[in-house]
Amino acid sequence: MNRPKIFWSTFAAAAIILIITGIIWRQADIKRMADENYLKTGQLIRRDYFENPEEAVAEIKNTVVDGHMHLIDRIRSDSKTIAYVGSSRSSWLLSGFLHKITVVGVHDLNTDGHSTRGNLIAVYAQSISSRAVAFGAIAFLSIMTLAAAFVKRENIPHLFSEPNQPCQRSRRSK
Amino acid sequence: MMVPESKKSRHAGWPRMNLPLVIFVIAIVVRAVFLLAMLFFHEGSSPEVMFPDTTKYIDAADFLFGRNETGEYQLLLVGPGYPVFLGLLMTIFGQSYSIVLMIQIVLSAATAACLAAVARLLYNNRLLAFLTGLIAALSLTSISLAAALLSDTLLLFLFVFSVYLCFRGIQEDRRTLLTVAGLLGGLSILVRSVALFLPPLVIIFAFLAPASWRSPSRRTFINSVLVAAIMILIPLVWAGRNVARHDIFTVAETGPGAARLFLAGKVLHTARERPPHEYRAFRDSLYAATVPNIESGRYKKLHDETRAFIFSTIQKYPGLFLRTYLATVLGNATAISALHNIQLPHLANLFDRFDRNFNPGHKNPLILLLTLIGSVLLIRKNARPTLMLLGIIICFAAASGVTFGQGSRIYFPAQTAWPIMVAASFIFFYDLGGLILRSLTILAKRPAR
Repeated sequence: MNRPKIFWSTFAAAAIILIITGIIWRQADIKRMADENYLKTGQLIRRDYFENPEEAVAEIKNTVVDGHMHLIDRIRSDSKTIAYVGSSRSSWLLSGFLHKITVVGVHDLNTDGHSTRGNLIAVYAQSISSRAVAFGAIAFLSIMTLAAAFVKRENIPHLFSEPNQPCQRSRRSK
Repeated sequence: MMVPESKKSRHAGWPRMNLPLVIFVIAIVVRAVFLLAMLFFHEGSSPEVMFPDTTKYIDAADFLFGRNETGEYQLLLVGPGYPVFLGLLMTIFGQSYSIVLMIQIVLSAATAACLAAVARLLYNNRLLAFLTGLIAALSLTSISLAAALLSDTLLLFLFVFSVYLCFRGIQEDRRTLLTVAGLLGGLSILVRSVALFLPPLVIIFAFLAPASWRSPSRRTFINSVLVAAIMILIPLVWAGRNVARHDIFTVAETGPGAARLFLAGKVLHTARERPPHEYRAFRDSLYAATVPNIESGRYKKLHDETRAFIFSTIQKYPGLFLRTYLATVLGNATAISALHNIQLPHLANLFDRFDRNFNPGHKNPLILLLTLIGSVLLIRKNARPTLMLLGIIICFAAASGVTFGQGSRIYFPAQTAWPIMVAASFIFFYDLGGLILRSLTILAKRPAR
């Protein structure tokens, strides 16, 4: 195989590997946020008694969740707990942080329109640094390092040409 | 004797000009505008109370020059370099900090110019040298530190000039240059003890010197050992003074103190699985435990306790300690400047909007990435000097791992080397863009079959 073929094959392989890694990385990142224990690292941001828990949960979702993060997932771990996981921006890849809002009731949090009794509800907020930046950085670094290592010297004339010679393009690229 | 580049030579498209002078002028104009904006529009406090560390330096300077009796611990903490600089200027010009800041912007601009000279000396490429100087001249960290009463600008000035003279001394086999390099390197250690790794690096430089530079290798090695010896002897005098006065063999106690409060503190806090927002209170409690020793002047006891605290944390949580240390190094290497938010509060909204969009959490890995890409390119161009520069970056990155929370200030001394690599990346992107455009043009012009 000649040099351009090796270069483009390596480049394509790297791109495919990075896309697959990115999908796996995103899922792992969201799971990492979802698994954070709100009792250990969460900050209590609200605690109130609500006559109508159904409306309360909807209001919390509108104000706290939708107002502060881009919702990715809603997790119902048990009948008394609802967790909302989201990112700081609409795209995970551009997000610096992941957020989780956990709504915990003393009684069941009925959100199916059949709530019958009042409930004491606490809301916990958690944030972690997203690993999207790290992924983006590794992806950019991999692609550019490959290019920096493989592009011919004569195609980088401003860096590799000798000081006494004018910058010359490679014969092939003219 | 090797001459780095013929005076008559010129790179196509780059007319002959005094590169360091051009960079110096650009750098000084930018810094002067920043300083004026800070002094005229600052609605809050004056320069001496803008940053907590400034108070330490002023107290240490006053103690050293007999103006107070309370700065003994601060002097032990920060070392004598910057307090002497501050004290001398205040003795000459009175209590005017603006003069100190003006001198600092000259030193900072001279550093940018010297960096351009280092790039040209190592790689013999005018465009690379110009971009290196320009990056250093326009570095926001460098600009804001030049307008702050902090030791960083003086440290980088002494360090960069020492490295430059060291390279030239080895290249031209001139002992005078090497002696001056040794003196400046020794002084840089007195300014900040983080520069202590320079002496061993100088000996490594002798082995890595390109073949075209080398005077007889034995002579180069002897020269580098002499330079390293000068660099060590100067701070050794101060360490001797600390032994006599406090029974502590140290140049400055900042490093271990920071390692106790920040690194070891963070490890313990993480090990106890406490919420991240409680870390500050935990760190303050660690500091409060040291106050009785500081106030009663039991510095030796504090020194021993600090080391024992760090080592016991390492022994108890070795894996967590290493992980926290590496995360701190990475955090510092990707931290972006934050000092300008304090210096120019009337532009805080603008900076904040920019940071929220481009630097989430005041972190951005772009410079680190460009440094790594640039290092690959420069290794292809000339491996030995690139390894020297990487050595400097790695040492400063490693030293930065003991503390965090000060933005890009901690990793700032690595600016001795990274602008050269970032400049190489910029040139590469420019040429790569041209290559892609040319390839696309050729493809577009190819007749369809």
